[in-house]
Order: sequence, then C-alpha cells, then structure tokens
Amino acid sequence: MSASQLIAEAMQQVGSPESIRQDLEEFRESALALSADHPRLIDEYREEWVAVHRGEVVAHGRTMAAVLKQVDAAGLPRSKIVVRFITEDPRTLIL
Amino acid sequence: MEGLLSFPRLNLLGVVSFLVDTGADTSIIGPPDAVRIGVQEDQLTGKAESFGIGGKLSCSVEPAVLIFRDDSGAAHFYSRTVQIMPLRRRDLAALPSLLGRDVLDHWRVTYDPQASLLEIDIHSADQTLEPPAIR
Repeated sequence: MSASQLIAEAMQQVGSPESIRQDLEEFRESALALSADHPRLIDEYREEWVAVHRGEVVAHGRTMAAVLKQVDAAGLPRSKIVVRFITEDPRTLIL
Repeated sequence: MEGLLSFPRLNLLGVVSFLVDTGADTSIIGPPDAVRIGVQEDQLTGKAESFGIGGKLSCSVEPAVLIFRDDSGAAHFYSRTVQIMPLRRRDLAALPSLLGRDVLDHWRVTYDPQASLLEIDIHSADQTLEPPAIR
C-alpha cells in the first residue's frame, strides 16, 4: 500500500478535524488528570495498572490484560483511554 | 505529545502520548499503547532490529499513519513504518512510545523545561487537513 493510500485510509478512520480535536482533547484531559492525581493514585493503586477516561479512573488491576478486560466490559473506547502502571519507584529511562 | 496512531492494514486507531526522542531514528510504539489499541503480535509480519543503550531489540514493523493537530485546528498526517516493541516481555511492559526523527525532522521543536514548555512548529507533513473555513 502506498503512502497516499495509507493516509487516505487513515483519513477515513479519523473523520473530520473536529473529531480529531475531540479525541486528542479527551485523551489529554485524562493524561493531565493522571499526572495531577499521581500522589493519590500511588496511595490507592500502588503497583497496579489503572485506566483513566475523561479524567476518572475507570478500571484498575494487577495486570494490563485485567484492566483492558474491565474497560471492554464497560464498553469504553480503548482508543481514548490512558493506561498507566502506578509505581512509587522512579524509573530512569535512557532510550 | 499526543497524536493519533492509525494502523490501516489492521484497521486500528488510537490516541498515543509520545515521548519526544531526538535520539531515536524512527518512532517506536511501546507495549502499553500497542496492546491498548488492539495490536496482536501474531498479526505483525515485518521485523527489524533496534540498537540502544540497553543493547539490541528485535521489534516488529508495521506501516502506520501518525496524525498531529496544530493550534489552527489543522491535522497533519505522516505515513511512516513504525517499530513496535515486543509485546510479551515483562521488562518492557511499561515503556512509553517514542516519537523519533522520522517525524521530528519535519518540525521545529523548542524545549524549555524551566518554563514547562515543549513547543512544536510544523514545517511540513505528508498531507494536511485544514479545518473548515469560518464564514
């Protein structure tokens, strides 16, 4: 598939610029909530995976698979949720 | 840096929060993002090796489209073959997705951590979808 064909298919998937804006802003809202709430999340969900949608924790569990199962069962859109592992230990990334 | 990631062949789409990495030759998708948006390792056929400070990593590769939005509301599309980290390795399970120079080379990036600022000016894209004109 050529680059232009790939982009044409992606355009079909994403829809209008307005729907792109909504998807990105919804996700950003959840990511910001996750960062701002990190101290509380460490208290409540230490060493767990959490899923955040529209700024609220909607699922949590010991494995990511368990969290995604809850997300799917609730009918929430995986494409717009933020999933993170909550840990107190700071990780040093050298990529 | 949030963007939409599309895998047209797999009919998958999701929002991804990328770590901007000027040291990465190509963009690479971390396991949490790949799994969340529905990538299954047995669907991936292309392979590539990456080299980093931790050594060699055997990744999958998949044609993708990355989509970013600017302040004007325009959407910018980049068709790239991205790498996908191995999905079943526990030591990689929480790694973020990296936005590499395959996209960053088309932007001007200003990083000012003292001001909590990461500013992007988009110089070019494979295709741009402008917002509807306001009459």
